[in-house]
Amino acid sequence: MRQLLSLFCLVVLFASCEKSDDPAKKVVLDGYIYAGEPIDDIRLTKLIPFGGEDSTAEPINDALVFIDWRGTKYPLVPAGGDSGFYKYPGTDLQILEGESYRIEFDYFGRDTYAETSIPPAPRNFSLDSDSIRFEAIEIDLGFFVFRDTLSLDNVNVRWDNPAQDYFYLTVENIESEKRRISQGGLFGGGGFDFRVFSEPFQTDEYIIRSNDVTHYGKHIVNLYRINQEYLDLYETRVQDSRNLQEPLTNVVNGLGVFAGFNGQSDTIYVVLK
Amino acid sequence: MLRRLYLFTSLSILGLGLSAQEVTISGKITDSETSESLPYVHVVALPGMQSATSNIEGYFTLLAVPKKGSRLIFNYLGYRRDTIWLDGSKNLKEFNVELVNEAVELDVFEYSEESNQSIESSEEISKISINPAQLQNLPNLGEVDIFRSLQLLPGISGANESSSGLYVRGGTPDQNLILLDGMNIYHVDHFFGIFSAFNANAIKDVQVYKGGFEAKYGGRVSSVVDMTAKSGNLKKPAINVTANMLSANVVAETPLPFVNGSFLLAARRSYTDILRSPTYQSIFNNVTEADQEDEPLGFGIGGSGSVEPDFFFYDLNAKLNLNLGKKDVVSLNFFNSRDNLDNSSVQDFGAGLGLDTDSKLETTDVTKWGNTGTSFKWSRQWSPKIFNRVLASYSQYDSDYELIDKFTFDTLSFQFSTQQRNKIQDITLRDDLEWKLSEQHKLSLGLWFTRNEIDYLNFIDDSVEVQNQNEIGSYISAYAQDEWSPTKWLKLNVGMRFTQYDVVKENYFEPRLSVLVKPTKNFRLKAAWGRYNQFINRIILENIFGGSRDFWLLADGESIPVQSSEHIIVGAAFETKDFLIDVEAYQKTNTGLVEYSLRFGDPYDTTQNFNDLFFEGTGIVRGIEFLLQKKFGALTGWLAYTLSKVEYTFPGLQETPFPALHDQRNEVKLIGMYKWKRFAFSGTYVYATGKPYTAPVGIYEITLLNGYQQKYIHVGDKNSSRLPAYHRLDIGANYSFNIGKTENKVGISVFNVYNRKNIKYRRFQIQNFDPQTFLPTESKLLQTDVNLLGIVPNFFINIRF
Repeated sequence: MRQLLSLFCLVVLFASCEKSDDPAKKVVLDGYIYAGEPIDDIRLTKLIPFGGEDSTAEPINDALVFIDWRGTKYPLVPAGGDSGFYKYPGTDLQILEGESYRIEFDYFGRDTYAETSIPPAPRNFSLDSDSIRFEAIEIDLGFFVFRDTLSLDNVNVRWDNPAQDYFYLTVENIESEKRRISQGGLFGGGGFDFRVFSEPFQTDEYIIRSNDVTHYGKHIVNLYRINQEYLDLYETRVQDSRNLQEPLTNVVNGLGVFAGFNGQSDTIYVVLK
Repeated sequence: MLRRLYLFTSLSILGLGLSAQEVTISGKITDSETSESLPYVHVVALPGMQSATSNIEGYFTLLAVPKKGSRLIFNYLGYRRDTIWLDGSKNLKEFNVELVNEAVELDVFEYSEESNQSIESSEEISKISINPAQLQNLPNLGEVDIFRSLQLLPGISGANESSSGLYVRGGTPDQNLILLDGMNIYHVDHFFGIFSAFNANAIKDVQVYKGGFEAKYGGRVSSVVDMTAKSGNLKKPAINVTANMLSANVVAETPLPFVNGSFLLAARRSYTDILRSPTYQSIFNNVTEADQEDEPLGFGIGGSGSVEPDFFFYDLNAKLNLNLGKKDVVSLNFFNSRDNLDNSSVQDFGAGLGLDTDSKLETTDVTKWGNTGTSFKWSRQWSPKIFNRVLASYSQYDSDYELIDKFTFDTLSFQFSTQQRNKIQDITLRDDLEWKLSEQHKLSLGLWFTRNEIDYLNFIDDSVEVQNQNEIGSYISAYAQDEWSPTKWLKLNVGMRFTQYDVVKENYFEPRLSVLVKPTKNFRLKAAWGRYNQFINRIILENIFGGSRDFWLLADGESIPVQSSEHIIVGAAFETKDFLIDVEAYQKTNTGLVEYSLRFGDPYDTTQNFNDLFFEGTGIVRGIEFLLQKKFGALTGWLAYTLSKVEYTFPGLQETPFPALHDQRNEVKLIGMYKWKRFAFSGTYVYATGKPYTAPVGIYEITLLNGYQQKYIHVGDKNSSRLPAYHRLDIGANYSFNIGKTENKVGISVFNVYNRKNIKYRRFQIQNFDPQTFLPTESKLLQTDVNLLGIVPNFFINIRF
């Protein structure tokens, strides 16, 4: 009976609660920390409001940012310029496997914070080759000489992954003077400076193919074990416009991501025979 | 107290109150022109007010009617009311009655003194009857459509142009039980949802239960649409031909030789693949969004292309009906509907790249969907008091989407392809027994078995299997209900439905109760309460050809729970000969709702755990409906108003409750039909509060591990913004005339007369390059309104001979 009475009352008392969401009061945290490396990849910016005149993110350079590790707060300092980057200048704040870290700052009157932990490094990381070798080829068609370089080499990257964790792989040319692989022919001549990267995957193998690389020289292969914070950010990068959803974030009272990584590296060389 | 109640009930059941002057009257009610049986005819005996409703085969039984001095009134939507005095001359055991169709009555080109209604609000709570024959008088969007007409009723959303599915009292289309001669129909959309797959010319009767439905129905949590197909003319062959600017429609019916039976065949096919009328072009451009003014955001190489969308649909109804003696009727029914869109194209890039080589992109883009079903029904009137129906049915819905992009460069070629297939098969066996125990009690008992098999396949490049679901599940139900009239002013329907669902191995009890109180002749109070369960879900996949890529999955009790709903409805009605005022308030509490979201990833990602895409939630719907109907005279119609709120809670999507996507606070519908001589004019006006959507607040950038600056949209609370209000006016007119022995009708209708730009949805995109030069620029968030249909005219001609 009470339900019936409440039904009549409630249907005529529809209250529409409009919640405000002030875009100017959202801080965007773009923060990554890597095991064994100094903290220098933390950036704070403001949201670009929809309908406003700004079209670039305004950096925040005056926030008091702390990293909390083992109960001690380590203050970060602006990296300089109007960049919004922050770094920790000392050496006593170490990024260690299995440890948890919390970043916090107070901006726009909001206590904003995020937590992450450093995952284990990839185990038994190995490459079956240290090079990708290209050969120059020349085909004389009579009226035209077709010149190009060709390689069928692959480099197999392997590691242990019994728990089907997520990994991420990058291949980066670190030569100071980059020399493009001449592919000639019909598809050559591109001006892009590619850096090979993969999407997060759960396998225990990745094959770097010869057509993945665009320059000769020394390359660093980095394999990172990634955690859920980054995976959420990556997987919500496609936002369907008909059912628009907020991207996942581990930043409380803010936006963006604070994620820890742990990786292994090795070197390969791309050479011309 | 209990002993008294028991004694009272027992006496009523045993019918000991029958006096020697009272008799039992039973018979069959048929159409005077075709001899087709008429279901759901309301029969009242005066002055005693004994009443009955004819069953699906037209049989009725009245108990305890005074033998002399009584008169029987037969009332059926679309038919002339008939009154018969009992004078002892008729056989009361075979009291067969023929009613005259209003459409026949209109041959004299005068409006009938009787009802010209298209709809009739039943005494039963939340139940409405539809007369398909009268729907031709309403304005339509190319086709006379039953489901589009249902959207003009209070409590059923009338602002969903892109789907003929029904949003009934805050429910979604998959929560409706759609029955066509007992077949479960799973997908009702023709032409991308512009109208439904049911041919109105082949349907005899439509019963709509908007909630609080009785125990004999189950398996869905929102509503029931129970359609009975025409069984064919038993007296003479007849052909009815209709053509409009989209399709042609033929209904042929004939009595069978040597036996007492009939056969009906109804076929409808569009000629949209041959003749693209302005009506078709308007609708097609809208559903494919070719008419939208969009920002030129796509990259292109500047090739020359050719796109010739090829679209057609058809549907087929066939029914064989045999009357075996006076007690048995068997019928075999077949239904098939299909839609086919071929949007394939070829783009030649050779010239665009300045090359002589043969370079082209061949796109094969084919979408098909359709229903197939058949049912066999055997009905037997064992005695005037006992009627039984056995039904076996098979129905299937399948959809197939295939996209192949084949790029050819000289002698080299490579291709990308994706294919999505969904097939749901339904085998249902039913036995329904009606037993008129006494004047006070009508008992219904039944068994219902349904077995579903569902396949959902999603392939990439012929070999990469993204999703491959094969599910089999069945449930068996038993129900019992008693329509109990302890006094002349009180009617109760008490029922219980029990279901066992084998996938989750659980038992479900669904009690149902409805009460009707008639303190005076014109005034009635009504209430209903019930629990409902649903074991199958349609998952919505948004795309511009909406409806064709949605897929069905069985509840598994884990990622897809069994849906449950509790309905509470109270109402009152005041009815005179000319007018009806009806008010109902309702509350539906739903659990086990499922929302499919891409939030956690890309459905084409082969590493994606399919179950992670589903979120479970609850919902609560509250609303109140008003209906003011003018039923008689040259001018008929109704004014309907619905105030409602549909609120969902999905903790996995948002901590706080949010409005459902189909939540519309206010909805007003005004429908008018006026008959003058040979003309019939009509108009419908619909106003609805704008639908909710999730609006963006701003953009931010995050650097991914690969160095790419990924743009993200920060959004406000889920569904916290509203689109502008929806409204439109449709008008129609038709003219009836005879040529020789043919009865003809021509008509025009105009949809959305004042070309209101109603918004289907808002699209948001981040633009970070100049659309003219394709050079990088600062990021901007662009908003594009994708509109619903503008003004659409239509013309039809109908010939009956």
